[in-house]
Amino acid sequence: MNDTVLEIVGLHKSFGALAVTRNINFRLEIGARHALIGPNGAGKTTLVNLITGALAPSSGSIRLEGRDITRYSPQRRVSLGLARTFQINSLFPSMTVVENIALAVVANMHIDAKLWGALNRRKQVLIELERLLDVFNLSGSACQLISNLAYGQRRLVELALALALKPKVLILDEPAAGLPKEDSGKLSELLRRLPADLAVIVIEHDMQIVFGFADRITVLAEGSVLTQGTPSEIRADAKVREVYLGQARND
Amino acid sequence: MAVLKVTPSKDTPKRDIAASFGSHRLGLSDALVWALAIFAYFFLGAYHQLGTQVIIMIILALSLDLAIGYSGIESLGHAVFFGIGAYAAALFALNVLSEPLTGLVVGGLAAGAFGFVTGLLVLRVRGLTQVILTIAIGAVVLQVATTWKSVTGGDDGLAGYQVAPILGRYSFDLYGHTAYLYSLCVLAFVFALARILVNSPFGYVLRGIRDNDQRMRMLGVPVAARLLLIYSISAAIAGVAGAISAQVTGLVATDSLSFLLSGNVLIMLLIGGMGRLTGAFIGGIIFVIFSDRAAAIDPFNWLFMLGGLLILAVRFTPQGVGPWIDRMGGYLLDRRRKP
Ligand SMILES: Nc1ncnc2c1ncn2[C@@H]1O[C@H](COP(=O)(O)OP(=O)(O)OP(=O)(O)O)[C@@H](O)[C@H]1O
Ligand SMILES: [Mg+2]
Repeated sequence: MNDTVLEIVGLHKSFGALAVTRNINFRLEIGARHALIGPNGAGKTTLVNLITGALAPSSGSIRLEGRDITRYSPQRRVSLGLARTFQINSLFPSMTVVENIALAVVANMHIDAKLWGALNRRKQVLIELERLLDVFNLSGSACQLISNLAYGQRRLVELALALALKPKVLILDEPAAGLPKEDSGKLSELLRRLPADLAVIVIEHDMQIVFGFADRITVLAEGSVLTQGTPSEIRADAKVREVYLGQARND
Repeated sequence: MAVLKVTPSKDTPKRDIAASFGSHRLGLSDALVWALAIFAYFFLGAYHQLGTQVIIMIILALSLDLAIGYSGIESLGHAVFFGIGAYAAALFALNVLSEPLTGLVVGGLAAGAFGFVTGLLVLRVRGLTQVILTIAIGAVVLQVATTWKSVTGGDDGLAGYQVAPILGRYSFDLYGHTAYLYSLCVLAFVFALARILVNSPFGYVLRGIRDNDQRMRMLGVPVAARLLLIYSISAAIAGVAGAISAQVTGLVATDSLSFLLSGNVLIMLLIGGMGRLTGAFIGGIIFVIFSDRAAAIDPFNWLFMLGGLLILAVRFTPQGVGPWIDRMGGYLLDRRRKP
């Protein structure tokens, strides 16, 4: 049985003369809990953009469940089960929390071209919304506009949008960025409860989250994979200490 | 982990979730407008034609609201669709059939088709480029209409076509009574459709695209196709407005395609408020009546007064006066709604 959901082979990306992604190989299994770490500017977000199709690679290939998606549009990749969250919140600011999540639910149910039948009278949609609001503990702010929401809660909506898509692979770009300490604890808790068969890549600078969550870690530096291993291997790795952990401690 | 996977088998979702949507609800301002429209029929006297003008402009403003207010498509060329609808309806009445309802459909389809084709171009860009592109298309079409005399009658326009009685029964009278009720019925129909549309999943997707089209793509929604659909629908509605205008005035001239008209509709929406349907009503009424009165008082400087009105509107009610009226209504109805 082949358990690989996502496979990246020889991925390369340069912006002009600047090579930001260099020969990256990477494999993700069903239910994987993978962390991607590396100093600022290591090329983590760029890698996510390549995987999700926001950027086209200079060379290399990306496979989702065995299918070569290297040339697919971002939309198509999403509908095949690839979802992400954004390092910088990317939401619908003039809409309410429930409307934001509903957009993802609508996309997932493929009813985005239904011209009639009020959205808030569709039972399937409402049931799904109630479930997601419960999971993310957002019921209390369901009717708040995103622009009136506390930052920590926006981060949760960001996560809710991605999960509403019922993806096979979920990529979280610094989900804890800018969260106060107590909120990042809650986030860890949420991450632990993600569906068991969902393959997750999390990019994070918060080492507590990384080591609490990942069963495998890839360290990226200057665009290439520095090393890959289990959390304890990474913790013990001298190179990693040097380029990443050491630097993080100095911050 | 089970929490995320298993759907809790609650069969009936809580009602407050449904209520957390900003769906278009029929508010006080709607009731007010419709009451006024029917009431007005009996009291307009010599002003039925002006009333009909107001109604036609409301339909046009509604169509623009679907594009700008709901979908973030920045069009300053909606008169093109209005004009194409008007010419199509007039040509249809001249050469094919004088039956008005079919004429409306023809006007709507012609404008919708033109919206679809130009949408392929206009929707590729955003912001200022988009505005300028819509203006440019308007200028081209106006130029064509002015030069292509054999079809459009050039600067003289089209006239002298017959419009048969509506449903074979209600003929257009000299005082414009039939025209008023006819336009009002079409407005009610268009408004009902627009309301269904904005409350539908598609309607919410449009707002999502307006707010953040990139993210909408990353939810897997084919943004370009959805925008093209609403742009065509909006164009078709503008075309229907133009067709009514051609039928009730018995005349189509190049001013129905003009930039001035595009600008005026935008001003109506700015006054009434965008992205809320009712804005078209309030803005349309205020704009047409104000410019009629202002032009009567001072035929030379009335545009300045209009400018003044616009500045006041934008300064004191940046969202338009629609929300303001609704808030007043909410105030009055509060006791009933909230325990
Ligand atoms: N569109 C672009 N054009 C040119 N250079 C870019 C572009 N996008 C990213 N870069 C460069 O690529 C490098 C990697 O950026 P990236 O955002 O992927 O880093 P990151 O690992 O996500 O960093 P951080 O931890 O700060 O989020 C940086 O040096 C950045 O300046
Ligand atoms: Mg980054």
